[in-house]
Amino acid sequence: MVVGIGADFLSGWGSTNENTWQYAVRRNPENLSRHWQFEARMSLTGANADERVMIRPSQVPAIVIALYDAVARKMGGAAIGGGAVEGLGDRIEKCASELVAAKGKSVVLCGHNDEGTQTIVNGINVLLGNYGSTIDLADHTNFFQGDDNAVQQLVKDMNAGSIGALFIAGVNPVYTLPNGAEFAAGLGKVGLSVSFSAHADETASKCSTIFPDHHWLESWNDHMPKPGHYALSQPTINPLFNTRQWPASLLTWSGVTGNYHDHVKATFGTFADWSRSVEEGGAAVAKNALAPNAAGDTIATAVVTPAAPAAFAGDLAAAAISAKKSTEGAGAWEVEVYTSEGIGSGLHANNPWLQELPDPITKVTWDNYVGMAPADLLELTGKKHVRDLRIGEQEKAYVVRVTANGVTLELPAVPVPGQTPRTVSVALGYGRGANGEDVGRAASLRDPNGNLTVIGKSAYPMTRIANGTVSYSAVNGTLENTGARYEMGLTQTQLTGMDRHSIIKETTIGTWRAHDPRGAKDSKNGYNEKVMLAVHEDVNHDGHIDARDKVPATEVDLWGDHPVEQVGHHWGMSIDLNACNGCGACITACHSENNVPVVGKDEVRRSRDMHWLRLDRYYSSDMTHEVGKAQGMGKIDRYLAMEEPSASPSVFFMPVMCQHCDHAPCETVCPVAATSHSNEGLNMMAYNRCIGTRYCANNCPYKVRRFNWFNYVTEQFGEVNPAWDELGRLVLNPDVVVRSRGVIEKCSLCVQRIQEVKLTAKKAGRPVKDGEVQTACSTACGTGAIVFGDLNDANSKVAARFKDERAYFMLEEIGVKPNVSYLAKVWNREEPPAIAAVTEEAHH
Amino acid sequence: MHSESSLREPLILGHRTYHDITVDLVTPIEEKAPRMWYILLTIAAIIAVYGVGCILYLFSKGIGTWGLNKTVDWAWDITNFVWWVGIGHAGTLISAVLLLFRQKWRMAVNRSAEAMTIFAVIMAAVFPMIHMGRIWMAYWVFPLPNQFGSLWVNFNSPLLWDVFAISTYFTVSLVFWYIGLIPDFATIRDKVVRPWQKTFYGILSFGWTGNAKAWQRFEEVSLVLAGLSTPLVFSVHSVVSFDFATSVIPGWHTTIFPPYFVSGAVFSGFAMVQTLLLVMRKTLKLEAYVTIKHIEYMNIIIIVTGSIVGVAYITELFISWYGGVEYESYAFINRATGPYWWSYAAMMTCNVISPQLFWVRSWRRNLMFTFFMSLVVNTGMWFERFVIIVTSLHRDYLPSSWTMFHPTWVDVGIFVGTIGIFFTLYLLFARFFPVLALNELKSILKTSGESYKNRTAHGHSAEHHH
Repeated sequence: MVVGIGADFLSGWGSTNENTWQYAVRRNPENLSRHWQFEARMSLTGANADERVMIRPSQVPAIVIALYDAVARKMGGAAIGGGAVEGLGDRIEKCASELVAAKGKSVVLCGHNDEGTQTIVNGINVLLGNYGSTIDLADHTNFFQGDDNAVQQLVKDMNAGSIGALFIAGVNPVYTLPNGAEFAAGLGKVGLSVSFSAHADETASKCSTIFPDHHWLESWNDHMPKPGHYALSQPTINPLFNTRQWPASLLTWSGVTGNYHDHVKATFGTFADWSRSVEEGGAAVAKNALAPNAAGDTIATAVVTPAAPAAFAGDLAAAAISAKKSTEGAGAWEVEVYTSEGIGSGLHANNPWLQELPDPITKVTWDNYVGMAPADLLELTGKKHVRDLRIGEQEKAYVVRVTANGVTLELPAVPVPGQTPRTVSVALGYGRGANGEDVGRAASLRDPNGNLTVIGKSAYPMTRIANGTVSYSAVNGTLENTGARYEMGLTQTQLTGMDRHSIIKETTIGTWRAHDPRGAKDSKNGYNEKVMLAVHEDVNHDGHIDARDKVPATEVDLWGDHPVEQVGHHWGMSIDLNACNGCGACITACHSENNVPVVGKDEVRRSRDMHWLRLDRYYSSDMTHEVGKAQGMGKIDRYLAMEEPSASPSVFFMPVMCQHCDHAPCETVCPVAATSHSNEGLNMMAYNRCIGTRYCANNCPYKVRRFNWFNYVTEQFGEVNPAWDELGRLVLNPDVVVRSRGVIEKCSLCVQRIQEVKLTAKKAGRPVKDGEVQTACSTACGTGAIVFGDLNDANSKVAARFKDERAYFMLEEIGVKPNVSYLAKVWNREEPPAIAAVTEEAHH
Repeated sequence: MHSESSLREPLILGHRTYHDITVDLVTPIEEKAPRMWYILLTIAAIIAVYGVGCILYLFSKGIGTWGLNKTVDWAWDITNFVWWVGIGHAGTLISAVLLLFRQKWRMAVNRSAEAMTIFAVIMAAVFPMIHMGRIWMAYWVFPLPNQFGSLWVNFNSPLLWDVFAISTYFTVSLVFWYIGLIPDFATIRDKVVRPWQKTFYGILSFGWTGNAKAWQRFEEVSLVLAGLSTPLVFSVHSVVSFDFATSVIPGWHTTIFPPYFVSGAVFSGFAMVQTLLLVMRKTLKLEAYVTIKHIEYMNIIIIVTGSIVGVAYITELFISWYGGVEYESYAFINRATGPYWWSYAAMMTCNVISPQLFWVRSWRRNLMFTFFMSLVVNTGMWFERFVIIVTSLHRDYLPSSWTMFHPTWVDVGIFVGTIGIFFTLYLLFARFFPVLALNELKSILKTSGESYKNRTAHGHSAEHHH
């Protein structure tokens, strides 16, 4: 059991890649963890939680104390007291009961940096006996070892004129510190300030000297992300510009002989065979081999933590006082700033792939915004329905003015179901280069008049130092409507799934355990029924033909089968919706692998994003056909009500790419046969044959086909498209053609990778091994949700997935026979799923 | 000679002789064009040139200059295509179907209706061409021998069927129209005195002599072409409807489409004939030939076809409920009540409710009202195609992809431009071609002419009294 309190541990808090994997392996229904999340903002983590409780950021210390007390009472320990939290009902008690029931197999995480709060969280984990079982101190991460206090001391010292020289590598404090302006002022008082930044960014532009660093793809390096993991990185390209790796500069300036490569080689060679490591890209080393051998080396200090659990010695009473102090003075509005999934801290804000990666929850690209509870935004704008707040396309967002910690930001407001009322959230990492600093080409966009404009606004000034650490929430905010409107680019504007069961299949663990979903005739309580079709034949042998004569819709077919079964390969993909957490890494992987054009905000706003692979996000609605019928509502009213998301919705994520239908509707309609079927089950596009009628895109029930509205590569939107100039073109994958204006493109299941593996296997005279072909998305997926392989190989992982009882095809009843299947989502919840999975019987 | 019941209203009013008919129809061609014609042509030509400019801009930048998007990949382009093709249905229906049914009243309207058909089909053909992302490869839709493999077209694609249906229809309509024009060109050739006109119409008339054999062949060819065209009247729009009917998109995937599209096409075609004919009748003073009765006949066709269209709309709605398919049910509810409800309301009002006003006899015989209604009907029919195409696409299966379509100035410019080109062509036709089938009119003069029916014609009364 996992309890997250304001901790977005799947996106932005802690070691997210590790967390993601560890979380995913326990989201399999065979072995399903229970996840509670207390948070103000609908985070990616919260969207995956079985139980999500909407709180205010100022309530975090009280919740932590209350949870400690509830757990302590149930386990016979002493309570701290003073943790009363209003408006949460029995949620904390219930969470505590479940934690106690799962003691030793649970973990409580809290995202607040405040030391007092974290001390109490440790106390809870100690009470539950989680140290030594779910928490392994020896297996810690080496990231996030910064010291907020030390940095603040540095700012003071700089301004006092007591710093003689400052070398800055890999950080941008003028931009990211709460008091960045003070840092900038201090830089002026430092005798020698040296930046190693590749750009004359916010900090570098204020330094006396810039020594541009290599890009990491041009560098030799070694890494130790955690004890026992020692990695080597090699350059993949010669330096493009006149740069030098910053450690090399330090070596030179300290008078050390030999270059940085030799230095890395000498260190790494202590642990592993250098030549073999360079050839193979790394080496496996025994875990305990690292520490003793590293004596005298800088690495030694990183490998020190003993494995024995330390005794808990926290002063809980003092911690509670200090914790509560951290959020004192709560006002009408509370503001939470966070690092978004794509842009993060803003370090890579100049990467157009990331700017065009839609936020996993709101689907906004190229902007940060004020996330607001829909109810609040309705009140502010005087609108009646959430559907009236629809933004994107031609609908402009309302611009609101948020003031907190003495800082005012005017940003567009985006309704986010699940955001706690009277709280707002703003992403960090935007507003790079706001004062004309050079932060890279794609960190700004061209407005309709051709001027470059900064993307979003920086929310870093809203952070503050509280109890010696950086606090990412402000509790004393105000908010008002400016009356201005602002255009936004969203890849998805519809909020809910409209109770469509042949697209969205989800259930609870109880239902999953209790029912045979596909087999049973009376499968009313199942979650993955086949859609039945009445036929004019006495299939039930009751002597007459009537509406009870039904067969599964998939068995009715106008067409002959493609000869792909048991002949050669039959490529297929399976996506486990339980493992998928909606992060969107697959989208960017696909972008880079397949030379998918970046089109910029204005084209996204016109619903013209080119993503071959997208992540559909559906909020649950309080309305379903079942609920509406029970209330005697008419169909028109039901549909309107279904467009309204719940105030505290359940979120459903679904990666969607070309489904490679064996009976593809796109293939029949192309007048020139530019899209056709391969004998390996792939739906192929011959770009050179395409004349661009777009009939295929219209006739695609999954709407996965993308049209090149302009010559995105060389004529349009050069500031965002990496393929625009000679340098940017280096990102193009030489194995994939670049499409020009006027042709349709779409997911090919990375056919270039399939061909490569097939040729390798052929040359080696052996069959292709299962798992040998990986698509870009399956490679990038950190949770193992996406599995690709040969369906004709009976022992392949994907073939097994297709036989899983959770497996379903989207829109199975229309008979297009996709080669991509999904595994239905199973929630660890008591209640029936928010979007009832009971398929409405085909009536009449 | 046939004689016609005196109860039938005459089709040619007043007293007209064969010579009068020639003079009435050839004089406007011989004389200087009226100032009004120059004004109208200038306006139409300016709009046409603007439209061509928009098309060239589209070619230079890409389809992105339209408002289309990843979900709505067709909108005004195909709406305009279907609209123009539909309008192009009246001409052939009048000249072929009414010929086979021996409807004499067609003779006053068939020429201009056929011209309208030809021009409308040309306008229609513009859109499937320019909507292609790579128009320079447009010839690939023809099954031409080639060195690409050899690559063949995809005979499964309704878009390919369109290519054949439209090109066949256009060719047959053009031939039919031109053959009808030959005797009239000859009449003009024989009457005009300016040398260039003599030469011009001499060439156009293909050496027509007007002997009995020529007339016999003319009649035979007309009958054969009418036989060939009649199925085309029904096939063209049926095939156009297959673009939608054979798809998997809710709102498109409908077996009712072929008859529904054909009747809608005739409906809109007749409305366009009314629009043009009423103006032409007034400006060229053709009141004697295009009578109130002609207008009334066409309005009756508008009631009938409009009612068929209305029944089709309601059938669609009923089936979307009766079929019990979630997606189809939503598609139709969304049409009527979703964000595009106004286009559905416009369609229903213009196409279902307004034609019913023609049940009132005095209204369907009122010229101003008819003119107004003809514009209403074609507005409604444009919205019908918009509703079918855009409202079905913009919210289909996956709610994640739902979006809206917003036209750009290029969308509007090209549509308006085609109207400009259409009127430019039509005005040139009205200036240089005989706007009524004058030789055919002569064939009904003595049976359906007013003065012959009421026996006031010179030296005619005796013939009928035995």
